[in-house]
Amino acid sequence: MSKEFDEDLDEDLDEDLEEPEVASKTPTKVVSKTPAPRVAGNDLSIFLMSTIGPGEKKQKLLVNTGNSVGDIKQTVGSIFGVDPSDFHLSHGGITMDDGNYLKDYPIKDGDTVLLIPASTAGM
Amino acid sequence: MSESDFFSNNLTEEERELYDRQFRLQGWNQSILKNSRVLMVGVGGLGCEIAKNLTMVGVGHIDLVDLDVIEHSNLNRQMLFIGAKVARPKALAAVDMLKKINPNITIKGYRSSLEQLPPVLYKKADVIISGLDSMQARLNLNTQVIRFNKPLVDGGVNGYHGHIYTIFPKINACFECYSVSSSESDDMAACTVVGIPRKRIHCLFKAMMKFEEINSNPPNVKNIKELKFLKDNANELVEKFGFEPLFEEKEIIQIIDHHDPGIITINAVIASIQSHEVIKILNYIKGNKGLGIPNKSYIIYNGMTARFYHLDKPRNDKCPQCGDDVLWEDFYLRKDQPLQLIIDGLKMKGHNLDSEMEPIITIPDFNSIRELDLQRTVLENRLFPLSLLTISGFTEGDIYVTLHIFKDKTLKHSS
Repeated sequence: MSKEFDEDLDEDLDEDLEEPEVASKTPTKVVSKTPAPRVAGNDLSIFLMSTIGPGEKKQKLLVNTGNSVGDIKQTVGSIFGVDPSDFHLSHGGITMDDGNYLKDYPIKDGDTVLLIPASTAGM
Repeated sequence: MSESDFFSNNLTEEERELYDRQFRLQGWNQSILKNSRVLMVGVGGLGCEIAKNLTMVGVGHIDLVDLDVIEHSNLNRQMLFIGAKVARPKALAAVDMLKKINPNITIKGYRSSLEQLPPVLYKKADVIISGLDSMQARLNLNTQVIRFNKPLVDGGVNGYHGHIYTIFPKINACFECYSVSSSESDDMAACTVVGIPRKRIHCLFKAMMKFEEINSNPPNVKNIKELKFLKDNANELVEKFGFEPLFEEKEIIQIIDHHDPGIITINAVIASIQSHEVIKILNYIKGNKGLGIPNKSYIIYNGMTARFYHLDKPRNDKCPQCGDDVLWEDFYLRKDQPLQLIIDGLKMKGHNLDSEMEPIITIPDFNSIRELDLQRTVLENRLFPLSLLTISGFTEGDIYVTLHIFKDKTLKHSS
């Protein structure tokens, strides 16, 4: 094997094996881009974690329980860079319906909500 | 750890040789698999892989169900159809290939929708496996597995992601334990578009239905004339009912000719886990715990990060399908007896008719619900043995009835 080839290969490897950017596991920044709540509710600070996409991300988000799940999905989709139709939100094993409000689910301050793949077909 | 059944009389010389490497597994029991029967629903990307696995490992009896025919675009991942003719029913082509792969087992194919499948196939199965792409079909299967108390090993893929989930009736969540949001494509499958369009998408469905009425075949969106017909008719409704923006050709093609992206690698991961869970479940329910405990959690696989996630899915005891208050009854009729006898029988069993309503009996039909004629007989209503009927009009709410049909020779014994 020529030296030249080795070098090229090393370069390629370095590039290819670069770790995908993974957000810090203990996020500090609170992002609040959620739309205005549609019905009366309380402010909550929750964590969102993606099981989909190129890197496992966890992100803190300030939400209002009067927000609809569909609205939250729009916000979450833009934060995580994924199409809202490619994921569902899941809390405590229950897939959240886009038409419902956050307050329809027993979400507490500090809870984690997962982005799960749409292959779940709504289950 | 239980011993392998290498010298079981149940197995032939040929089988001993074929399954030699499996016998060397700790706790393995080939006889259990040989005496098992599984029902595989959907022979597509996942189904082909699962059917291949269960055939090679030696599950004794496999029933395959699929309504579709082979398309050329299946061949990048559906290996059972290699060499088969395009447009041949998938279920039948799969059987041909699987018989070549393992001639020691029984394999049967059914080109059928779930609604038209004889329900006895669910009852005879030890485990039911699904590789489906619609929620509608999953819900149909859900009802059957709850009724017959069979484990349902479900899987699904979406791009580089997938999931595996086994429903153990009344133990973990079924597909109806929590409210289900249906996507627009499922709206199309349900074909519930009658009267005034309620959504923008319904305008397109109505245009499709109009095309089918005129031409008695579905539109081909690759044909410019037919595409224009759809666009014009859909947009006429969009404008009339205020669902703007108007449809463009590209969007119409995307909606009508919709196919999820699919790659064999992700399919194979999901299908392999489903297949292995089936093997574990068959052993577990037949008393061999040597292969481990079947998984009850919802498993997500992310092919981009190669990570798995497990979610617990607690059952909802108020579920309209598997909940504690759902009413299930069994009823026995002869082929020549009218269905009104079921209503009378339920009254005798202590159920009270709602005076405000006429009692009706319905059965799921392809993409819709069929109301049965109470004055007509079991035969005239075209009912299978073990048909699942929904009876409405009693004060307690809907009652599910499993209809048993007496065989002819038992006619004289029944009253």
